[in-house]
Amino acid sequence: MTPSERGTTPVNPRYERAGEPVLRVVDLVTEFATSGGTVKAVNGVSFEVGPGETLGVVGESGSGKSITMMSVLGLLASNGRVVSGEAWFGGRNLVGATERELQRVRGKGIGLIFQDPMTALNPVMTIAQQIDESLKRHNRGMDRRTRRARILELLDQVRIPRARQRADQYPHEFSGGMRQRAMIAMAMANNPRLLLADEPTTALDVTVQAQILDLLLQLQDDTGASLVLITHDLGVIAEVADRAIVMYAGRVVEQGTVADLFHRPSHPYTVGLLDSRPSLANNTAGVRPHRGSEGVAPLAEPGDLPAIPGQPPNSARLPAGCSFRPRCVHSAGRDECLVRPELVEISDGRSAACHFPIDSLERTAR
Amino acid sequence: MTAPLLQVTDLVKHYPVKRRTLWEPRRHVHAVNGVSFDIARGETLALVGESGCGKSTVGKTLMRFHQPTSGTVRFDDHDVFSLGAGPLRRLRRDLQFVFQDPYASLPPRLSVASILTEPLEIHGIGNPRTRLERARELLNLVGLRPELISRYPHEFSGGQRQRVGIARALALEPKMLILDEPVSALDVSVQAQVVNLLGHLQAELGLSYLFIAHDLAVVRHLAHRVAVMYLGRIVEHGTTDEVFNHPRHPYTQALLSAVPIEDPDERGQNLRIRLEGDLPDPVDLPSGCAFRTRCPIAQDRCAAELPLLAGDPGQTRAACHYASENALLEVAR
Repeated sequence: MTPSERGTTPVNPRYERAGEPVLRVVDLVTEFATSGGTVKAVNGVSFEVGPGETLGVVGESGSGKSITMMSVLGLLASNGRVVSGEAWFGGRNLVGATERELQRVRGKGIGLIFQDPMTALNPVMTIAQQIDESLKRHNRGMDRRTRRARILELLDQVRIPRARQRADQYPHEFSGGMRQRAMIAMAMANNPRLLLADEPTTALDVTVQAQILDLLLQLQDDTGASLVLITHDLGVIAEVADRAIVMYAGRVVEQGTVADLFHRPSHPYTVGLLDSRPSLANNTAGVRPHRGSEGVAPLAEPGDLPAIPGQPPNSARLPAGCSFRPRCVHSAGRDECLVRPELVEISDGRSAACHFPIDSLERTAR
Repeated sequence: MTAPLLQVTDLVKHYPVKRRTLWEPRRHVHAVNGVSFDIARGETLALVGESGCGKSTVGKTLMRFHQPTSGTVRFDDHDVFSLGAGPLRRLRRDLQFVFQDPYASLPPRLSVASILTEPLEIHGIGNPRTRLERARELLNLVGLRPELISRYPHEFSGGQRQRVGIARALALEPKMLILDEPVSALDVSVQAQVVNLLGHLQAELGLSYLFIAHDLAVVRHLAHRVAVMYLGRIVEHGTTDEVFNHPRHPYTQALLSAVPIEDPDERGQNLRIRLEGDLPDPVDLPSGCAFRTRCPIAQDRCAAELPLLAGDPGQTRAACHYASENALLEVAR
């Protein structure tokens, strides 16, 4: 059965109306050859990004969220390969595209923003030289003067003060936040239709993170570009995304609008993630009584966060059936969970990969 | 009131900057510039702030990993900075440190058994058999199965490693743990487990914590009191409820308003204070209040006069000339 026949990719009606998706990934499978055998890092992932939309991709380390994006761009390490699936961008399937074709897309149609600007930027080139590389590569006829003007315009756009002087400085002369702005300027250089940002604020302090998120939203408003924002931080998703997919062990376990995910989560993993976050509204220090030495209670005590038990699985040794089964509070004694659940639509625009999706009515407001 | 377990007074730590030429004047990074606080038995004080504010340096100087420039620290009636090597070693039985990175802080070639028995061996406690017994007990205490005792660090996940790191710190039955970002390297689903463990351990063992962190939600959850640091100084200090519900220093207000919202419905509802610019160079600190270069309400007085953390130590205190006057900035949460 081909992926198109299966037709499991639900489409949010809002974005169907708004036009063709900018990026459509269908049933993507990516494997890595390791000394311990073949590891399926991405295991049948499908999603779409609508025009002007911000799609959040949430997941913990090893969930396959970054590898999915690297697979789309053909930027996998040499031991990794896309086994099957499609990634449609601008009428072209990027899976199986030649390196030449991919190079025309990277930095032109799709701009990239990485987590750590210190390692992603070249330390021996000035900021202007690095932006210029991207301009030169994708705009053959553009002369030096036009390119310089564009560089200064970009640095202004990402609000780097005194752009004229700062353009000719090196990355080490920039603070973390300024470096991230420079990388965003580089990603925006050729007016991409899609920005892929992989944990763009994780290395930054919280006050700087707020500035960078503001900036990304502003740029998106100005240019109409779509944004895929990969993050482990649900707060960042709540802050900026329109829609989000939740990944676990190489698969999408839930997708929906941000309002649905936060208020009506269907997958037990999504519920667990939301519940295990400490809240700025609650303080529990002092709630616990001093119990003396009777041993640490393994069960929840007053003041405990509702944590998800266990550890994320090793992707080389995934449990049979639903990968979340060993940690799931609903799977006990249910044989259905030994069969891998597919991502199916639950209601308009919402889907979950769970045999027993949580009824929104069961979940009371926190 | 009983004497606090730890009492830090006017702690200063400056690091010399390497000179590029011989005749260049010797310059210093002003990492910690006069920090005072105390921690009672069984209490958690959180030291919060952004990178470069000096919070980790405070923790490491208390342990005497680094020598202080000046100031005094009293721990359990000992003057920490005047102790010789022998007494210092005994002090470290009572005051232990848990590192941020569970991947870098455990020796890769030692089994968990060796990691947990080593501190006991160094301090000459028990014999090989009782030490191994204690190691099993410790694993149980931190929620790991005692069978894992012969495993090596690489066989564990991040959360499990951090549990081993905590077990090692508990081996000598300390009175206090200095926890330097103990959960920030962990995945979200595992972070909650370790946060709960720290709460259980405190309740059971009556431990005091100095909790060094930048994640304000975790601090809100765990700490009794909070000290907010900016460029080497405490700018606000009070009970967790007071500091989070009624922040008075403009930096605390900005910090709290920058924390991402918890629910998409809150978008656009909160008053946002966006700080402009970057942290000043800690080698050349601004005159007066170090925060004035980014402060939305700074006046001329702020450049001339250093605001002190004045007031009753039992009350919430803010080191700002206009702390009581900026009700305008009061953050909604």
